[in-house]
Parts: sequence; C-alpha cells; structure tokens
Amino acid sequence: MMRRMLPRLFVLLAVLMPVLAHAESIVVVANPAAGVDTLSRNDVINIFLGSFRQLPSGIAALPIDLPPGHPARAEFYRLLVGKNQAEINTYWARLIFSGKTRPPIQAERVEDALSMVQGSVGAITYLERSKVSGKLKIVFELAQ
Amino acid sequence: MMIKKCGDFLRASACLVALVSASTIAAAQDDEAGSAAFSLRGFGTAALARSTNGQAEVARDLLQPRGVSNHWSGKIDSNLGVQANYLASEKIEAVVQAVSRYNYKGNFSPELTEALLKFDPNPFLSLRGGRVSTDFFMHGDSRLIGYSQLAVRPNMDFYSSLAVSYLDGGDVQVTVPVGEGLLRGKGYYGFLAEKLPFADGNLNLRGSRASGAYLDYQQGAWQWRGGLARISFKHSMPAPVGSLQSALIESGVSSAQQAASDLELQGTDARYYSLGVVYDRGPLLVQMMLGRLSYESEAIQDQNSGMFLAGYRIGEIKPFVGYSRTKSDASHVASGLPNTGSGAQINAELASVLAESHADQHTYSIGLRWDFRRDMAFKFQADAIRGKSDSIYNFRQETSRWDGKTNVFTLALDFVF
Repeated sequence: MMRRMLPRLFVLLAVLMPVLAHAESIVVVANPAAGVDTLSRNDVINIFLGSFRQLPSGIAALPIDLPPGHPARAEFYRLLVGKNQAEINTYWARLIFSGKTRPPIQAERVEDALSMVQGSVGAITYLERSKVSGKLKIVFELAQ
Repeated sequence: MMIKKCGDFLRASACLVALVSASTIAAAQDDEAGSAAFSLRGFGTAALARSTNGQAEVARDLLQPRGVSNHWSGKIDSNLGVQANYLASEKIEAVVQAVSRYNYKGNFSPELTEALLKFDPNPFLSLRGGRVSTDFFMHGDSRLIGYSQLAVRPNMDFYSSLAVSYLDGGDVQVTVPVGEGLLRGKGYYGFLAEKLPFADGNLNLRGSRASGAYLDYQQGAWQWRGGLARISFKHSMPAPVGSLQSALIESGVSSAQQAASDLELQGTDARYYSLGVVYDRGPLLVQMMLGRLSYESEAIQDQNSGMFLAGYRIGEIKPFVGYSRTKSDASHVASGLPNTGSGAQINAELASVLAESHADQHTYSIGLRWDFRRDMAFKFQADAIRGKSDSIYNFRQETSRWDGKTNVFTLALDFVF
C-alpha cells in the first residue's frame, strides 16, 4: 500500500513545490528592547484581538495593523485565526460599538508600522519575512 | 402607519447625519492639530421584514410597541448609530454613542446609548463609568449592531425579553491568564434609564437598581461564560395591572388583597441567569446559550430560553442555521373571589394579566450573510416560529384567531463606517 502511495506523494509534492516556495511566511516583529524572545500563538491572538495586551516580559503590548488592503494583513489574520478581513471587521464592530476594546493602531504605510515598532518598546506588528530588517526582532512566525 | 414610521426614521437619521457632519468637521480640525485622538464611527441596518400570519405582529424585543405582520416593513430591525471616541491618553478613553431605532414611543427618536469614561490602568484591569452597555446575556451588549452578528437580529426567543440596553453606573473587568487561556470576571452596578411599552402606557424602569457579574473563560477558539444579574424594580406596573390591583384591594377579601400584593412589581427583584458557549475559528462559528429570567412578582412569568446558531463561511458567504426555544412558567395567582358579578370581571382581568407574559414556542431559522464589500453585509433569513396559541409575549396586537405559528422573512443590509 505504502509503496504504491509514495510515488503519488512525490508527484503531489512536485506539483505543490512552486506554490509552497512562492508563499512567504508572515512574521511578528517586536522592538529588541521589549525583552521578548518568542511569543506563543495565543499571545499573538490575545494582543491583536484585544483580549489581553501584555508581552511576556510584563510590558504593555501595542499592536499595529498594516494598512487595509495590504496583502500581508489579510494573510496574517488568515494564518493566525483562519478569518478573512470581513470576519475580523465583524469582530471589531462588536467590541468597538459596545465601548470595550480598541482595535490595533492602523498604520498608513508599512514603513510607518516599522518605525512605530522601532520607536516604541511595546509596539508589535507583522510583515513578510523577507522584509524584516536588523532593527526588529522576530518573535513569532506564521508558516504557510 | 408604515410611511409615518419611515418618516420618523428618516428625520432621526437626518439628525444623526447632521451630528456626524459636525463631528467630522471637529475631527478634521483635530487632525490638523496633528492628533488622531478623536475618531467617529457608526453602524446601521436597513432591513425589511414580514411574517405570514396577519393575526399577530412579531416584535424584535419588549422595547417595541408594535411589530410586523403580513406586510413588508422596515420598522423592527432598521437602525442607525453614531459613536465618537476620544482617547485622552493611552489609558483613558471617552465614548459617546447615539442610536436611532424603533423605540417604546413608537418612533425613531435617537437616544443616548453610551456615554462613558474608560480607564485601563494595566492589561489586567478595565474600569468604565457613566452610561454603559449591559451584557446580562453573552453578546447582549451588541444587540443593535447588525453588522457584528451572523443572523439578521439577535435570536428573538432568547434575547427579546432582555429589555435593558444600558445602565447609568459602572463596571469593573479583570482579566487573568489561566492555563492556556484567559479568565475574565466582570461586575457592574447602576441604575436603569429605559421605559418599556406596556398596554397603552409604559413600564418605567428608570431608577431601578441593576447589578450583576459574569465569569468568562476563553481558550483558543472556545469561550464559556456564566452570568448572573439582578434588577430591583423601583416602579409598579402601569394600568391595567395597577387598576386590577386597586380592584382586588377594594374587594375587601383577604385572598384578593394577597393576589394584589403578589402582582406588585415595585420593590421586587428580577434575576437573570445565563450560560453561553461560543466556538469561533476559521470559517466555523457556533453559539449555544441558555438563560433563565425569574421574577419575584407574579405579574410577569418566569421564563427559560435556549438558542443554538451555527454558520460556516464559503468564500464571502456564510450560511447559517439556528434553533431556539422559550417557555414561561404559568403564574398561579387566584383572587378567591366568586365568579359572579364584579368578581367575574376581576377574575377575567387577572387571567388576562397573567397570560400577557406567557411564551411557549420554538423557532427554526435558516439564512445567509454575504460580505459583498468592505464594511457591508447583506443578509437573508427565514424563521419558522412554532408556538402554542397562548404564546403571546413576543407578539403585539394578537387576535383571538392567533394560533402561535408564523414565519418571518427578513432582508437586511448592515454597514459600519
């Protein structure tokens, strides 16, 4: 059974390889001075969805979203909680209009998000792995 | 009648739009000063609904004096809300919200639904004071925000008797990481400010004390919640209950006077018990809730309700199915007066008052939500309400031919801005 399956698996992998290689992972980046090595998936969900905004080092977390329509933004939430942008907006509508939690700060450009992370010790954002510069610390990776 | 209602809604909407424009100018000036501390947002629903049974009108909740029957109407679900947030610092925020919806007065005059100051000294603690939204039941504080919900409206069997939208007071919320999840406790205290339509008058809740708490645990895609709330009524029921009480007392018979006392609302409590579970991850959303409303006064029947809702997203379309059930416990109050002459009349009035809050029905729902563009969703829903003929609590203007069964069809456009 296995011997018959294996060649098929290789064919499947060969077909999928270009797709897999093209899709880039999304990483969550923090200020190196935040004192955080890694975040768990739950930490990232709690910070970006507003249920508990504290870094494991005890510093208050300040999440920053990329501009609406940025491909990394949709990809981030899809990989994190399996939700599309409409579902994320629906979630925030409930919390904002019942006077509860604020959504992440929305950066107007990717560069603004990155400079906010560099300029504020608790700030965190996300972007494609290839775009991370040396001044940011990767604390979580969402693989494709 | 419907045209008049629409006229009211348009006038109220125009007022809110004027408020938006004024605030937008203020926001623009704020932006020029280099500050993004002020934000203005809103939400709304434009919906049409109708039922298939002309013998009773279906109301969305106890706050609505009339409902919809077998003609299309935009009355019960359409609304418009505007909210201004001002972030004074990282930890202090002010929120003001006004909503125009079909209300107890039978028009769309806007009301202040939130006016609060929020102070979050650290990630564990959140304090709010002022006019705050209430969540006696899970998601009870977002009932007016159609866009935030999967279905066209909060389940009527479960939420419709939850008449309170906000209280003037405050709440404290504590969040602590426990295990892999988050444990959250919230307590609130304050005074109600709303009125409910009742017969030809209003039941005044203004000044009634409300307090409550819930405990909530969230882990991964799951969220569990158990809650308790209490209302201590400050006012009595209006006529016809008030006049019935007077007649019972004036009869001079002690059992009748006891019945009058059993019907008294003033100085008694209502208690709300609730359990809720939500699974929300990826394309799947499942909600299950159980609730019980218990009244010390015999004027309103105790009620047990439950609901289930499940939706699964395919592309941008999320079809859903739901089931709910509500049943109230019949009140047993007897006047002890003979069924002749004025006694018969009093007994008939007593039976009518006791029957007014009776509910015994279940509802099957099916529908879909289509997020066709950013910040907008189109919804369609069909509800099959199957109840006994004496199930009248959620209905208005029921005739003697009402059989407790109707279907409700709703088309809705929800938006946020």
